[in-house]
Amino acid sequence: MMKEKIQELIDTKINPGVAGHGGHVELLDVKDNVVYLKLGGGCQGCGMVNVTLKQGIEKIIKAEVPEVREVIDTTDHKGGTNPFYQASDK
Amino acid sequence: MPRLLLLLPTATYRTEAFLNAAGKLGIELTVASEKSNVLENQQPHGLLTLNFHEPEKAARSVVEFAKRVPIDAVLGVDDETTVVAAVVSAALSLHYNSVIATSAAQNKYQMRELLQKGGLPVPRYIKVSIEDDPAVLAQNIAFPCVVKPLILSASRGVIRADDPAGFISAFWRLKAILRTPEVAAHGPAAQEILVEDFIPGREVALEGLLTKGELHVLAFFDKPDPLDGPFFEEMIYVTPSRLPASIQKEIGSCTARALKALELKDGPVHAELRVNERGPWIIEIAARSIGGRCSRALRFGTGMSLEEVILRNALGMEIGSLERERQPAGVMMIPVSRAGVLREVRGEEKARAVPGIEEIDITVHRGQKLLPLPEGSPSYIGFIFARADTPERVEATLREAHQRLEVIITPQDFD
Repeated sequence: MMKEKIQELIDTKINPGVAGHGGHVELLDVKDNVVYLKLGGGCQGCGMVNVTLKQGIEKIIKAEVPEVREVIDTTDHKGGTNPFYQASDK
Repeated sequence: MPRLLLLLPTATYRTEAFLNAAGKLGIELTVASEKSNVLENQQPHGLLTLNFHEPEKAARSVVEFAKRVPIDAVLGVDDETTVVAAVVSAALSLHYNSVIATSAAQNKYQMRELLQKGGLPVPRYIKVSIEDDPAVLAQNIAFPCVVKPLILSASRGVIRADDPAGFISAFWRLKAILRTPEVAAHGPAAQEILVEDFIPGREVALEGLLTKGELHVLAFFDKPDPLDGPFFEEMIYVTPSRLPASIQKEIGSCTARALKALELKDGPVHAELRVNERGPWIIEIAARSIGGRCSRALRFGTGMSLEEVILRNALGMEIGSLERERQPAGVMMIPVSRAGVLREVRGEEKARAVPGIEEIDITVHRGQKLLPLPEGSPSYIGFIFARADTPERVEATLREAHQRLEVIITPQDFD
């Protein structure tokens, strides 16, 4: 039930948002109230992906599914070939 | 819980470390960046867009925001955002460094002026315009000298010149960097160049925390590679320093006097100094913590990260011990060796297998365009972290791991 609810949030709130930067979020699993995600497209390797994850995705999910303890990004960000924001030198 | 407004440029390396520290402390966070986050409309308390190039405008936006979402502290993570944080804090009547102090720490000429007035040991310097004729300027310059931008960090645009021909070449090269749209956006400071004496000697870095004007030295780093130019690519930082305790004390004292001269009073500071037979010389002081991902080399008290220390200090939370762990530690910033496109980094597993290596973090992605210094940004392929029983062992471990890496860059010309 929790997994379905989270999938619905990803489909209706999160993916329409991140699509604005060419990104998408895939729900891999929910285990012991921990959500495992994979981020692709413009999100993969993006310099701001941690902000989007912690300040956006995690807060959206926790607000609707408060029993979620943590949201974990399993993406190989080094494999990203078209990240939306690249890190610089600061 | 208190709420902190964290000013994070989209291109900063510092995001993960600060978000992890905030999560550990359980503080409420609003993250502001110069470009809007895709989920900002859905999380309007946690995400904010501010124009960092216009601090007054940013401050007005935050004042309106704070009417709905009260802010207890503001923190910038790089040279530009520390100035914005000062302007915003003043508008919200929050405790922070003054705008004058943070501006001086961001602008190398203003910094030199204040340090010289304060009687601090600084290289002789002059400020020139990018519209000046370098051939004329070269007639009145002592060599060797260093040309550097008033702004920018990580040694970008910093070039040594040993004679008039070298100066003219360095001047044009820096002028081209300052004219790129990304750098020119910094405004008038991107129209000027600092020319100063080259100071020979060993370079060290001091990481510190200011509380009510008092400097707490968090770590001394040696930079074991000679930084004699023509470019000044920093590669290895190792702490604790192998310099004699008396010299370290002198460096700490010199830095404390410099901070007073700049009127910096609160928050993290990163100072870079040269040490020679005449004592320590202030090269740079920044009102921020160490750049890149280098802070991972530091742990305090019972395992606090540098970012946790900084957030606790900003919010007036108890910090406990500021003593760094006893074990020597270090970081290598993997340099960009040539211009081109990154194809692959080979040998990561072999490099990780070197005893003492804790982490190898490759921060560029395949297909990314790379430029070495002095033009380059990003300046690094990634970071190698090590801990060992002695500083010498840390340095050797970092070099060994670096030798096992093979960075494949395909040459490519960039316009």
